[in-house]
Amino acid sequence: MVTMERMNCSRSTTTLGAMPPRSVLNGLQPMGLGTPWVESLSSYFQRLADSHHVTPKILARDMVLPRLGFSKRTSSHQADRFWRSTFFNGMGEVPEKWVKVLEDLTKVQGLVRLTLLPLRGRVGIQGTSGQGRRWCPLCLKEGEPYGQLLWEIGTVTACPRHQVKLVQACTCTPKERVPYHQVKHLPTLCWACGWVLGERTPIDLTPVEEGEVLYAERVGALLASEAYGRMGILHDRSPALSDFLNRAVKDLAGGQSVQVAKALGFSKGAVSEWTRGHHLPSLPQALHIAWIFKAELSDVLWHEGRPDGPVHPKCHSYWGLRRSYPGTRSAFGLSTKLEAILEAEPPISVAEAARRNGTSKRELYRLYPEQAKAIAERLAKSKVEHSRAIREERLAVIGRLAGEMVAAGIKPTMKLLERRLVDIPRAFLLMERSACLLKIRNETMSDPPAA
Amino acid sequence: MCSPDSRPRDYSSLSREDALRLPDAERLAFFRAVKLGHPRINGVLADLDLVTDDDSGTSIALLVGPTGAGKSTLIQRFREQLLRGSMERMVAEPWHIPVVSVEAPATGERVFSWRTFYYRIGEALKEPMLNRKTETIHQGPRTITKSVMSGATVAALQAAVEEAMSRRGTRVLIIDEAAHLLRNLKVEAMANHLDALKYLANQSGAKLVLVGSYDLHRLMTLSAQLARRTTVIHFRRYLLDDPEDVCIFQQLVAHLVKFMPIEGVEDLASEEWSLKLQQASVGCVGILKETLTRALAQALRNGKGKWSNACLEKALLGPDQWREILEEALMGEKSVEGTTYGKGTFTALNRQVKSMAAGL
Repeated sequence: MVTMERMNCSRSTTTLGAMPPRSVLNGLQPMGLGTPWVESLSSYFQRLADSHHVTPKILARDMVLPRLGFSKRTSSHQADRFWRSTFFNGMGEVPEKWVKVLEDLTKVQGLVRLTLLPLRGRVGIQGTSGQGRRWCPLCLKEGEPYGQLLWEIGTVTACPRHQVKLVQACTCTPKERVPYHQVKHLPTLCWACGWVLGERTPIDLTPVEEGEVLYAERVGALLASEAYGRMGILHDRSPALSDFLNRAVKDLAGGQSVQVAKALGFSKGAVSEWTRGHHLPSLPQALHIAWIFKAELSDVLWHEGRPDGPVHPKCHSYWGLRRSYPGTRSAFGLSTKLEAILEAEPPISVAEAARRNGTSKRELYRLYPEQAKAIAERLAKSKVEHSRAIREERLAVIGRLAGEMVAAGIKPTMKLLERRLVDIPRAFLLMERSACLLKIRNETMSDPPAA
Repeated sequence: MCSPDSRPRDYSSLSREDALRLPDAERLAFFRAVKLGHPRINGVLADLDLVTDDDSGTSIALLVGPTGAGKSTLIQRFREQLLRGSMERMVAEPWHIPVVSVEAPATGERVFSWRTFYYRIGEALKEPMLNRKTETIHQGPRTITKSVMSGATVAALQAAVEEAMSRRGTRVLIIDEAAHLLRNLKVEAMANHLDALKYLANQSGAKLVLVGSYDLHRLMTLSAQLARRTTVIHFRRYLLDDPEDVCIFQQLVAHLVKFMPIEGVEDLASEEWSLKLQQASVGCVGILKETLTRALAQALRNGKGKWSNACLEKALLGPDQWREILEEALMGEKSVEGTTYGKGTFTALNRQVKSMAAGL
């Protein structure tokens, strides 16, 4: 007897039947998560649209804006406005809403890490907005298929990996541009000519300051930290940084916030506002604070998950160094700069070296005494050599003139030489009288006696 | 006052006794919903499972059989089986759709409508914005997009569907009524259509299962390359001259009769009636079920709820219809004799080699 079980089948051939609810959009995974080269939200949005073979405008208009409460008519006009804006990857309300909708549509979690939303309420908003579309041509040339969040931060101006300036423009001419409706919006393509950005963009050979690279590295390290994005988005100010500064004031400066302000190179008023929690330092300022006090900014901002508890500030060798704005970033590489000055020609004075680095001669001697002494000695030595060379040259001229006078049958005297040597100051002749006389005697005695 | 429930009722948990208490329309719906798994279905399901495995080397499986054999029911069962097997992955990845099942469209036009076909696959994949798909064009070093205001082009739809299948991790694409693909086609055009399907399979990484009548078998003869990567699975009917088939068919009838929500049908389970039914339904389980359903409808409507064998006779296929179906089945069985999955033997191969050598 063959057993025949009763089947439980849906008659429809096109419904999903017993399938659990599926995501509306593709589950596209963001790239570079957990690294300094994490993808930006605008890049993710463009790649998501491309994976569905639609333009980002259509994806925004048909799928995202209706869920944000925009009417169909408004959606048509506004569709391109958001994802192309400089604040799309920042800390505002727009990225917050878009992240939520995209996570719901794709069922991919963690998209908040593609924006600066985790820093909201922890650092100030100044300088975080992008300056328009920027990229590193070498990163794209190496085949990276996405745009980095690092490029969207206004205060980052260099690529920490390749140490070149970020670029803002493709070299295409108006003739090479394609009509707007044919533009392919991908983070690696020029939106005017359709070429891959890495292939056409020239590398900006403007020297990159070491401070710019170091700053970009530290921002990248912040984006790559494990805590970034784990703690959720804040809607109020976090006391993390102000607590850290207060600990610095109490433990290192004996309760005097003016000492902390001096150490950081910021104004007393600004530090006072930060310690009281009224304002937040900007991202470069926050990074500088953490660096001066030998801490990682990620540990300072997200200390909640740390087993050791909040981070305590430690004293740094740059204590007392005056800040130079916008060279907050340049303070990071002073030692290297002084070494470079020691190699460069012509030698300069310590005062000039201090002026070029936004500090004072006294501070340089205090913090880098050996290097400052070396700069001064080098200049002094070069001056001595220069003086010696001029003296020898002048004495040679005097000797030559004396020889000519002897050959002409004229007895060379100091008075005659003084009258004829208009280029040599009289003071030199007076000071070097004995050397001049010696020269004259040598020239006179070198002539053979008359037969 | 309650509003009527628009969702179809689930009759799978009801027994015959429960169904007997239902009104006539629901009794009919109950019996329509009854589907039995029988050895032929189970065997073909096992073959399909093997052939659509990632390492099988097959890109396209052709599931052929006589009309009314139960291919569509089998496909539903196969689909459910695949879904059950991928449930863990579907929970972990909410975008994953392991199997997509569509019906090849017959729009009444002279040529097959690929646009409609891709649309259907897109809808089955829950792909949004189907009418706004754009085509990417590479013009030398530059990449541009080609969007058409009047709707997506076929090329754009094709690329979008391929990418959707790839991104959703679709393992199997089932195309029912696949014979529509071949209507009114010359051999060259047939090869083009099959190339398009192969391209779809290659780009998306999915296996294709084409379900239809014996016409589909012609695809195997188009080229050696196609023959290598295509497998034919034959969903046979139950033959009258095979004692095992006759025995199984009798049990099938007995099981179905047990679910018929009407009194007085017990005689149908006898050997005599099962033989008659097997002959009348050409050995096809689907035709048997349809015949019994029509007979039940007759009994409930005109027989005022009482069963009589006259209802069954009225429900039988007409003689011409029956002849047409049988002829097609016989011809089809002959055509797939040498190509069916699992039928290759060294003896058969040797015979083939000798006959080819003699021909040359």
